Amino acid sequence: MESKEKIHSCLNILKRLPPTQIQKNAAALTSLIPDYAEELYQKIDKPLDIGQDEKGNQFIQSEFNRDGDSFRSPQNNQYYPPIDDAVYPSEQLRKLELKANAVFDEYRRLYYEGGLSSCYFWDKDDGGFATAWLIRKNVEKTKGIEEGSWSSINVIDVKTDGKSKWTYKITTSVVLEMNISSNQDVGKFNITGTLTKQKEESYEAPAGGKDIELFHIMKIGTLVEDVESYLRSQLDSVYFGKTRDIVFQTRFSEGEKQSIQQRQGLAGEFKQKYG
Amino acid sequence: MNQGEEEITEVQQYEKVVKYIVKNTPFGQANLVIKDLCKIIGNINPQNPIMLQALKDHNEEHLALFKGQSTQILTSVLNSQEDFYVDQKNNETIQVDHEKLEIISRSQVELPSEPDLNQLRDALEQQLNLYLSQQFSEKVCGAYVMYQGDASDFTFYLGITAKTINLPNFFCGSWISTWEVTKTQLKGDLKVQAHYYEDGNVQLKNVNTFSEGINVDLSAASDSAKQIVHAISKLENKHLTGMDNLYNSMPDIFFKAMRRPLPITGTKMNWNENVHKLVANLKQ
Repeated sequence: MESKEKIHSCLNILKRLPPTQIQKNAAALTSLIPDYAEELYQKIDKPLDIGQDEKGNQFIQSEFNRDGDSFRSPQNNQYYPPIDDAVYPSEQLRKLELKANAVFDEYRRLYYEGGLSSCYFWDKDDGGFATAWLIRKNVEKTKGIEEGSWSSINVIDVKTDGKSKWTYKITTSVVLEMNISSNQDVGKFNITGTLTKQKEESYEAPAGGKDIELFHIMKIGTLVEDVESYLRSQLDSVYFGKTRDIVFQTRFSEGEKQSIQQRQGLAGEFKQKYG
Repeated sequence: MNQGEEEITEVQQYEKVVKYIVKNTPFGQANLVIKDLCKIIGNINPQNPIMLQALKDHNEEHLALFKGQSTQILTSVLNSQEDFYVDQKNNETIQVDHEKLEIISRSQVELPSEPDLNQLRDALEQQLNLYLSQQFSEKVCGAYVMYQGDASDFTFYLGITAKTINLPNFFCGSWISTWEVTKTQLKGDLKVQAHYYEDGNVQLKNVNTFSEGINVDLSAASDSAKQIVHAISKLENKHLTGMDNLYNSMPDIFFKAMRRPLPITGTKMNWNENVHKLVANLKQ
């Protein structure tokens, strides 16, 4: 119970600190409770890192393809740096993983027009499996932005009822940052955000289990597309915009306070006159 | 390593972490963060000297406003002494409660005073209060004016701040500007922060510096004060307009560059078609 409370307090604090600094912040907190470090790291979403194989092919490094300090490449299924006795997906799941990566890459191209995507699968004891579909996109020195980064972390838990019904539970988190290091009007401007959403859907697979792999990829892909689009829209229209509202209700723009008072005065007069 | 040495190292570690975390906490949430830090560390409460020092630093960096019965004071690094704050205008030292943001006690004290500079200080205070009433939300805002030096060589220190704290609706923000005025120059630093954390977590941190030539005439205190505060007001307005423009362009220059709302075709991805096409390609 004690560990639960301490982890809860850590998560409370992390929510009050800039989301893209979460690695550093979590490290600071876990230095106070080293026994619970692993547990805390598994509960947080941080910007995705990029690694590469010996030929320079890049892939995303995450909790989902990590074993110790090494990361598994989705292209050749090898760990970098190499290790003995590591965790690999089963042969069948590895086949599905290859197909998913090819299809997800197209999704990445259509929506992100750049960036890097990786899918990782792992077996579960209950006969189902889980998978993480990840995207990391950077924007550098364009139209005044020094740097911007987007990380999507889609984790899908897949279960079956043993017959033909499959249930997909998705948890998607987006972590993003926009950084302007010197703008002549506003100076140094940094805005970071993270948002998470969950969704669950069940579907009947085609009879006879034909093309079940393609079925999984379609269903998971559609969920990823829907939830990512929702989160992007929320961050753009609600969350980032809200920081603007907070600033402008703290320090009004020129003349605004006067016009608010004028409107309030008129409203008061109107009320008096017409009751 | 004996028991005594180990304990010191542990406390030093707490101190480092507490200082770092509280420093980066948005103003308005420090007390909650300190409570959580105490739960994590265990056997420690918010009145512990490490916590109180971190809170003091946090308040000073954010020009926290402390209220008393008939007065209020902004705390900053400038008027801070070990146990109290100096109120130059009223010749007082003030003790405060950092957790409650209240003034505990005041004592009269004799401070060096320059009559020539006092006039300008009072005029500046008047202009700043007018500026606050025009451009800032009343809820939590304040300003200070202090000076150093004498009529032949002086520096005035101005501080302006406003805070929005709405924890039940999961947001808060700070506007913190500090200025230095000499006979010929106005220099300033501005910090703008905002935090919204209903379900998600979005934070804005913005800093800017300003520098402008001016001409301060001590014998015309009222006019000089107007000139100075007017210059400050113009610079802050320009900054705010810059922010507005940036926010208006964000959907296009940032979000769209990150991820399109829809592919360039204008329709969602056709998973069926793509799955069959790409997997067939794989086999080859």
